[in-house]
Amino acid sequence: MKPLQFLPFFLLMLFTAACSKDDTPQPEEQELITTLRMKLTDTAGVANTFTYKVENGFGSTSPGTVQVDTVALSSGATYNAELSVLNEKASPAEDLTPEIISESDDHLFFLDIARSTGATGLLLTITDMSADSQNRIFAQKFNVIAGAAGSGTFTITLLHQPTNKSAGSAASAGGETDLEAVYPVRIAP
Amino acid sequence: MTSALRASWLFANVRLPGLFISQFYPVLRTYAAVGGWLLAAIAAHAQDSCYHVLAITLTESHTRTAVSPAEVTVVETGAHFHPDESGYLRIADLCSGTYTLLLEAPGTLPRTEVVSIPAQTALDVRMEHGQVLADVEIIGTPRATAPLQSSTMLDATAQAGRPLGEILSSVNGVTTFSNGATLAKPVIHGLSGARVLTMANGIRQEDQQWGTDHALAIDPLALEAIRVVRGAAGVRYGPEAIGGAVVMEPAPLRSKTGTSAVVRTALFSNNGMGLLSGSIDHRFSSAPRLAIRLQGGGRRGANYVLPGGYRAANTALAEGAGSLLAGWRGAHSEVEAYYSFFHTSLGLYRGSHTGNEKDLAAAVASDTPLWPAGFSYTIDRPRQEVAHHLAKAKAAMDTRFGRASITYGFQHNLRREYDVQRIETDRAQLNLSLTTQTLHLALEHRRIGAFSGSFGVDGLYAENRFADGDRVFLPFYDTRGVGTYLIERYRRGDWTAEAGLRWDGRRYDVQNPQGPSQGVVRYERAYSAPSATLGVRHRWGSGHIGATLSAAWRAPQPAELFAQGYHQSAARIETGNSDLGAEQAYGVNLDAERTFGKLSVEATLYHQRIADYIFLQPGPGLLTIRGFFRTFQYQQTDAALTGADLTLTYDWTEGLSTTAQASLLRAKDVQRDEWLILIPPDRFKLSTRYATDVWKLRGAYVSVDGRYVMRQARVPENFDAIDFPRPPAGYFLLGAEIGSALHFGRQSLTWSLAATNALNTRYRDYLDAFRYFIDRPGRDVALRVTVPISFQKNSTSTP
Repeated sequence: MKPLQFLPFFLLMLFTAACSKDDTPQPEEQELITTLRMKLTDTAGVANTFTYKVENGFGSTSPGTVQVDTVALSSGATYNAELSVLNEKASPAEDLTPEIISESDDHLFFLDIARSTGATGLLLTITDMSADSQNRIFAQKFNVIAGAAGSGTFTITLLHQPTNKSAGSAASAGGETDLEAVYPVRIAP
Repeated sequence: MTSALRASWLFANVRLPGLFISQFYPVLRTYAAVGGWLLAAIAAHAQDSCYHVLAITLTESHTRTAVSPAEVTVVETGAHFHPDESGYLRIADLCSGTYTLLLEAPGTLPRTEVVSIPAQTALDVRMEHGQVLADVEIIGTPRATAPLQSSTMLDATAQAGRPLGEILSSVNGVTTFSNGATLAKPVIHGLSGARVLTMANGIRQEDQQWGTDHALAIDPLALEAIRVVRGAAGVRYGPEAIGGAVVMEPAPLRSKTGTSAVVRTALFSNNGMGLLSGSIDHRFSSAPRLAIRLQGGGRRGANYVLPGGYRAANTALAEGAGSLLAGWRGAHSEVEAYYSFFHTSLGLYRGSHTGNEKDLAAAVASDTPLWPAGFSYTIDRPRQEVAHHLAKAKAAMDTRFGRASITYGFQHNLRREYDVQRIETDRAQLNLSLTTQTLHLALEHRRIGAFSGSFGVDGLYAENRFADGDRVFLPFYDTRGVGTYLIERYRRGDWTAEAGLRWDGRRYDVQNPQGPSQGVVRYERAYSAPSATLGVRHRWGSGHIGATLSAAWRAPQPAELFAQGYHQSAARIETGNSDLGAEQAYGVNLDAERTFGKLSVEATLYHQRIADYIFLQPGPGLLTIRGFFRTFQYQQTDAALTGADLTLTYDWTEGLSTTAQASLLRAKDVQRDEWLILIPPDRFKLSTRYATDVWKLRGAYVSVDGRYVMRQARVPENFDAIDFPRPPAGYFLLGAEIGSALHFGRQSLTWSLAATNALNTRYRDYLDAFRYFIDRPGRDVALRVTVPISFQKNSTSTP
């Protein structure tokens, strides 16, 4: 390494420092997710979409627009569920679902159901969760059977790079949380 | 005033921005005086290589305190040397041979030592207390350039390969703030980050502007001589030196024509890390006033092993650094140019990237690492890439008023953070750049009676930028700074006193994108304050007793003013507070050193009040698409820190000694009458060392040390709302080291084998940001070998 080779480098650095433009760059929220949509289609082919949206963008001192739909179901009915993930801060809104499906091995929608206190029986029964390319749980699509009338919550956690896709809880599945949607659920008799 | 003294001024004077320049640096100081010795030495040993180094430490036999002022005379050549205030002297470029050294200091009996070079590389001399020279003023006593307050010299090469922060923590009173095993920064008397100033070859290191989890981008093998100043030192070093300062300098250039080189290597068992570093020095025979050094090296390590046998996922690192130093020295002037770069790519434990508080709780609850990993040198996301470039030019000359100097520094820091991403990308999510230019003018005036001192002016201009499309972290801002200082020292008989005054101003021009639309809001923030110091030291027996009062301040960092967003490894949202004012610190340090028979004692007591101490205050929870988060905002309170550092050494017999150390600290939030968070717990260390010559192993030594760190029980009452789990349990660590010099004919080398955490103890440290996720690393054995290389072309010495 010839010492003098550094000289032009210094001069270049001095020059660039002296002449750097003062345009303020624009930061971007990285891989922002604002919305989870759960589309439930009953056996008659009637579809309803339930939105969970927290538009917590820059600054993060307030959650921005919050929309949490209550999932209204009929006791005993079976629904075909499909989840989609969006960034609605982008204009037009960006549908992130295809990229998550294309990386299904690295993702898991963890489904967690809790019945409100006092009631009995299963709130929801989940079946037929879709699989990733290695035939492990992915659960972007699944079936829901509504239980006895009552209320509770349905928590859907999108995990990135989970280490155990068959875990009993979202926390023990490993990876990190990209999204956590807590839907209120009400089942009509 | 002797030429050696003038030469010392020359070096002492040229420190960049904002610092009081009289900080004395022993290696450089000896530089000038070496020439005369070498001339004679070379004549006697013309066939031999003359690259050897001898480090001399003068301590008083009873108090074990530094002997200063003092004079070391080489009887064979008549050359004189003067150790610095800590009694430390390093003589470079020695020829092989046997020398007689005469050691003299006021208040002690003169001593004669015979040294054999290169067999001996270090000499610890115990000066006996006596009256003989009590009132003798040593001619050519160096300027009182070391700070009066507690400071310690370190040699980085002995711990090559360890993170700089950890090397510094071998000083009593200094601990580290770490992110696992690979990233550590110093904590001095409980204060760290923006409250500790680092000077790299005379230039303020600016990369600490970016926040707390950023290690210093410095290769300790390029700036191997380190002084750690404990306590507020704002006048001498400038704003931000509230907790103390870390002052790093390169070794001196060759003093005679010809070429010499040294190669260092180290291997580490825990993470399979290898280190290779070397330097080559040359003084031109065609232009003997000019000397250069090219230095460089790197290290590469895999992910490290935890005591349970697990590996910490994605903790590999790769680092490279290089520097070029050129110096020209005339009879009454001097010019120096320096360039260095440092680049590191550092993996962060994969499991420290959490999505929300539940992820963090799961990691805390797990006894074993949640992320499995095998042995790998691969550095994946999350990772940091940091580059640091420093260019410096300085010129100094003697004037009728004293030594005048001008120093310009250019510093470019780049930082890229690669987050874990859902979508494959090569892009970094954060691209910060910080370009800083500094100018420092200083005049070290001629001695006037018993007074010596200096006056200086500083300027600083910095631009902090990020790239389009980066994640939100810091605004775009420019910093302007000015400062001026005057410091005077008075020395008479057993008394030394120092007084200094400084004023600094800082201004930030900020363009902060904020709100949902990220519209740019401009802020102007200006801060200014004085710093002051008043110190006095009195000889006490063969030791000393001293007191220093100091005032220092710092402007809030842009991160504290404008940070916004998610803190990944703590699973919380931190927001800045643009209304913060400056932190103002007032401290008092008492220190004493004395020997009683075979026992020597060194004690420091300190108390510091910090008005408007900046800390993170918990706020309400915030709903996000990833769940609820705890939020924190920077707020100010008043803090009081009181502590003590104590070192006791007992000499059982020649070569065998035991040292006990204790470091205690109590830190309170005065306004709320509560303990401060993240304060290092009390710690104790006991070590025994035996050194002797065994067979061909000259200066062979073996040492064992045990370290006990207590659990930090003093935490704020609302700790559980701020942080969890509670601070980890106390722990005991055992270390051991052996080493020596070896000679094969004319070739020599030094080697050492050092084990850390020798018992493979499982532990977590309160000041480790990875304490939520994984243990501290397990046993590590390091083999270090240093080989000097001689080139048989040594000829004449420089004037």
